[in-house]
Amino acid sequence: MSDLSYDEILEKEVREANRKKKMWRWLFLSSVAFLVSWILFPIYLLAVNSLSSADVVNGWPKSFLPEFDMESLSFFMEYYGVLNALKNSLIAALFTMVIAIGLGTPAGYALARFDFRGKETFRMLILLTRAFPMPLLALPLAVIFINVGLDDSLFGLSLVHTALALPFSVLITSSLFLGIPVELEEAAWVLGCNRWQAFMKVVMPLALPGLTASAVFAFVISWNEVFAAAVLTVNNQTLTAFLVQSLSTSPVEVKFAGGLILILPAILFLFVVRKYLFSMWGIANR
Amino acid sequence: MTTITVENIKKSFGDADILKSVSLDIKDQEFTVLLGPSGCGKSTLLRIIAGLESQDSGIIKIGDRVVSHLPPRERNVAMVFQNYAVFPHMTVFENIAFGLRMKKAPEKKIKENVERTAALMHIDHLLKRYSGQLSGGQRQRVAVARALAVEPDVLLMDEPLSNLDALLRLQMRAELKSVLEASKTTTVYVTHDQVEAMSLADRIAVMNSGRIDQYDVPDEIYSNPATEYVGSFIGNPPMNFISPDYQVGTIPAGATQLGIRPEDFNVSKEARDNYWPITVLTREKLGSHQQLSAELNGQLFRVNIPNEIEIESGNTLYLMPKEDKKRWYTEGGKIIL
Repeated sequence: MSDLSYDEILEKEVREANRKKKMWRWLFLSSVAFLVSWILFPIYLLAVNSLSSADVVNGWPKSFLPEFDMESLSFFMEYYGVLNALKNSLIAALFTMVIAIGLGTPAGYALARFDFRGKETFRMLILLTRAFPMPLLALPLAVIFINVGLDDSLFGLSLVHTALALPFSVLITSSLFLGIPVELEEAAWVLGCNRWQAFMKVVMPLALPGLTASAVFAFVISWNEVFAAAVLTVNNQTLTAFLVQSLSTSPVEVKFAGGLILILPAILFLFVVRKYLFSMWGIANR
Repeated sequence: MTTITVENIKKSFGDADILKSVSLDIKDQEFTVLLGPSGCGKSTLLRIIAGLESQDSGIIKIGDRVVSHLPPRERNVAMVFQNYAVFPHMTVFENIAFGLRMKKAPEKKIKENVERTAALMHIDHLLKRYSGQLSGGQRQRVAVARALAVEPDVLLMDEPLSNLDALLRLQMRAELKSVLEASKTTTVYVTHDQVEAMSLADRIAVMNSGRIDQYDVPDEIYSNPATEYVGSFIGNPPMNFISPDYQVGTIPAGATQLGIRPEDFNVSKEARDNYWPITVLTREKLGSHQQLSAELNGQLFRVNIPNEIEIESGNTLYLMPKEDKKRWYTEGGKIIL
């Protein structure tokens, strides 16, 4: 080392630092690529297989290119009960969305703006509702629903889905409202608004993107939920419950088609509101 | 006629007494500054006048109307916030018009008032912009215009300039003064900046941990601080408080401290009768004058002297407080008049 001049040492260190920087960058990019393909590859396979004919799906070697054969998809869509299940799923998800936002927004606002006794306990309790797994709750719930007369109704199912979605909508909306300076509301009060007017004229317009995102989140939770749906509905099955029960005996290409139809709305929905989801989670969006 | 009467307002948060029975009589069209360090209760008092915070006890009157039980919207006040609180989803025009729209003013009057106040604050070219497209100073102007547009009985300002950079603050301060003088609105203004208070106020209320120590015109606050606290809070550097042992001449009964401003000394380089020999610790040249930190028998104090006097640290200088500038304080820190 002693015969190296200062400049040479410096140059060596710079080279070393550059090498490290490159290595980290490479590591970062490959992790991103891995995570993305982790999600996208199964979806891609699902799409390819749904768009291929039965022979190709069952044959060997597998093709990674779709042949745009609509047979499985159209067979699936014409399958008795699918359209009805799709409709049921939509209704249950919309119910869930409306109830979760209707209850979650005021609760989130209260958490964000007021100091009340037991606030932290309340916050914990909200999270605790997620501590009990659905399989544990499904049977007792089914019994209760039968006793109350809510069994096999979409409304009853959406209540269960709301219970699943509510913790998210409360916590998401509360962080949303926390992000809106209270001075904006106070300014509105001083300028002649009562609490409700200030909320509607100032807070609501600013919170709307985030509220939309949290509504969609509730929608997707309901749309994806299988277990409660399978246990609590019989004639009014949602798509997930329907698929669980009827696809287990279907040929594999129809299973693929069913899977694709199931995930498509959720993907589209999330894609449309991704901007709001990002802003909601605090990811810079430029 | 819009006077503000604050009577025995008390407020505590948990165990902390934020306001300990505060009273204040603000005259019509007067510009009052609530001045004090953070935590002294000045913002809380302002928010109680606005109705954003409720008092534990006491009465607020605006004019002859008791408003202490009314919500903010029924008090006919306007407020300017430290972080401007310009509504980000509305244009500047809609922001300024907001209060008038809430009062259901006719469209013609709204347009008139918005244009008048916008012109007053020099933002008439920005009316179509959103707050995201404005600089900090411009947002501040919008906030003031929005407050003035509703023609309030009382204008309340909570550290409106403290988020601006130094140069802009000076400019806005001068501008605010002329705008508010012209608008003749009774104003209460909260700040921790004594220079801001001195330059803007008709009267300053100096607050000290939940009480008002002195409520008077700036000159009186500066030259006759009612308490030791006021003397050491106002002035840069603050008033010197010196034990009267070194004092010749009469000492009023009960006096334990002599209060003297740094500029109120007779200075000599040679020893003289009744002059105190002080040791100069540091000397700072400040352009218009020089400021000394000095010591006399362990007592530290500050002196402002003219530039002409050549002095080095370590030297001895001879001082005598000017007779008419001496202020005497009791054990409890109250002035003896």
